[in-house]
Amino acid sequence: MLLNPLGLLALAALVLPLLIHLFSRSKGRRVLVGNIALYRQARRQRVLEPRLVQWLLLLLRLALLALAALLLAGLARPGLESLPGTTAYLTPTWQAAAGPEQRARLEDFDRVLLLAPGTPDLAPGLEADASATGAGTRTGDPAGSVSTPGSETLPEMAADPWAQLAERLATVRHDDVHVFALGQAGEFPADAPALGPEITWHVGEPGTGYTTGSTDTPGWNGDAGVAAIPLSVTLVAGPDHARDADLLATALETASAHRNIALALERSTAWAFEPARPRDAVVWLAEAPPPGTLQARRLVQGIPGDSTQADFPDTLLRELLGEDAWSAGALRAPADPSAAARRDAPTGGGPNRPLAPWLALAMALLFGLERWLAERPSRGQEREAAA
Amino acid sequence: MEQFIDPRTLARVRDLPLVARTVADGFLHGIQPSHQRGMGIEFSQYRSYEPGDDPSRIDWKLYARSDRYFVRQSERESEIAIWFVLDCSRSMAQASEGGAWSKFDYARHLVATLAYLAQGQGDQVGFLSLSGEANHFLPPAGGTPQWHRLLKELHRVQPGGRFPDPDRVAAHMGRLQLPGLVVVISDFHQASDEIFAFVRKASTRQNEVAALQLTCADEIDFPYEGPTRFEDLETGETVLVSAARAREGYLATRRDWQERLSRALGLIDVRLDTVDIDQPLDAAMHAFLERRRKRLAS
Repeated sequence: MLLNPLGLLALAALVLPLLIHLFSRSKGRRVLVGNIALYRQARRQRVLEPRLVQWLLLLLRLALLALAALLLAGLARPGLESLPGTTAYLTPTWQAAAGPEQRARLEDFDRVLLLAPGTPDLAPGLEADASATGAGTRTGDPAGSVSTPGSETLPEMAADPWAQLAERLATVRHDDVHVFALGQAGEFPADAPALGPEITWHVGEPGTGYTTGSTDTPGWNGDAGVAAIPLSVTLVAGPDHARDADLLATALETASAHRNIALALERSTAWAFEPARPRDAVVWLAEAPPPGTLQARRLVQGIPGDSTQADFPDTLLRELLGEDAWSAGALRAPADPSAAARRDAPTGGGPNRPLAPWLALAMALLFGLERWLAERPSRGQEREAAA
Repeated sequence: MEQFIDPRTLARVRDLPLVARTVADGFLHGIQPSHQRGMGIEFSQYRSYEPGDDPSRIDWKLYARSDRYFVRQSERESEIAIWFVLDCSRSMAQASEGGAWSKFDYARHLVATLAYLAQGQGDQVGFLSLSGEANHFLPPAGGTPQWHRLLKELHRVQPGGRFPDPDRVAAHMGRLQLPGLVVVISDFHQASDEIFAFVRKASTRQNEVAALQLTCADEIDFPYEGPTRFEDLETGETVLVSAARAREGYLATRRDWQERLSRALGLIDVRLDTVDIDQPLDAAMHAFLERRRKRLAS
């Protein structure tokens, strides 16, 4: 599988050694002699060796270039492990919150895995019983003390289920992936890693019913069972601050996508700004001071915080939503992981194991062989050296 | 024009007693000094003026002393003509890698030097260059002007093409067959046997043909390594060999070829002398003249 098929264009470079080989057939020192007949006789003793070595060298060089092209093309092979059938991944928070009804749904899956260190395998039948005490962890991983649903320790354990999921998807070939999550922002942090698109998401609170959707289904976000937090923001910036405005817009879009915030972003300039229209927040980047008649719950002047910091999107959201709304639930608001997945998924998709290190190793070996063959002293020289 | 004469060469050769014996008495041919009296360089004796004698030969100082007409008599000039036949085929352009001269360059210097010695001895010198493109012919004559004409010819000739068929040089053959010495300077690399044929035709009972074969160190030693592409100067044919392995075969082939060459020339009474162009010219000439001297003395 090629992650970057355009890299195969580098195969065109194979023509070079071929041409060089064909045009340098006069390989060998050219010596002008008076009577070729004497040398023609000597040719009877000539050996195929020089020519054979030349062909071998050509092959080696072609192979080297082909490997380089494959390296550029990002040759990868499918993940080693393969999981046929349906696979369900649960976030620890979902597992903790799920009731018997939801657990029953897991029986349809061939295997159920918890997104916790060690990715313990949960037998659906056992999990159906709320009193299950972790006997279902087949891996025997002590970290998989997933057990006791509803226990208070679980949310803390779920340090990074998303990273866990991403790693699984990148290294194991799945037929059908389902992810069960509450959709809380804590499960899926803002800097979510890229995931492949072939995931069926089951996002929602176990108590309030499920929302399922596929990342291939556009507009799923709107159908989510949990309403997104509405946030209408107007970015007011002159041409001098266009770059800042772009930065803020990107940060806002990313942060709200990861947190299932229904963002209505509007860009405006100071003179076109309509202060009377109500909106949640205004970010004022323009030189002119904001008008006094401004109708907005929050007004942010300039860029809040340090945009180079990792928590900048959080800072920004906090500023725009207000401390109350932030602490009330924005952080725990249902997120839409599929949105982030769609956004960041690599085009190739699928769990792949890049072969770059192996390719590089093979190239190094071939190069060594090529050098040895090319600079190997001829037998005549050896004989002379021995003499 | 003087560039063809290496002064050191001449100086060294002239110091040798060999020159005193071999060269002075008519150079290569004059092992039997002529005792006929006549016009010449070396004064021999006076005799009385007789009608028909050239008045310019009268010794006027002696006339002043004796009041009688005497003419100077010296040892007669050698009548032999020495022909230098230079093979100007393209193969003569061969040179050793890193060698100073090609065979052709070497041959030009050799001819100029030998001709200088010859004309100094009063011999007549003729020159014939044979190539596929143009043949230069300089009829034999004596004296320094002839030597200068020869140098001019040597300047003009260039190696090119193949050695011509004997038919094409039939016009000059008659002159070569007259009494004298014909020095054929060649590498004796021939497509079929055109050089043999020429030598065979040129060699008669009246004259003597000396074959001077020019070789170079690379030809003799085959110092190549690795894949080597040999290209024929005349035909352009190439042969790619792994030099180290082909060496034995080449040397055997060449030895065989050389033997066949001397034998073939020996059959028509032509002695082959081999000169390595990568050896100093004077040393080679010395050796050549020494060999001739011994041969003629025996």
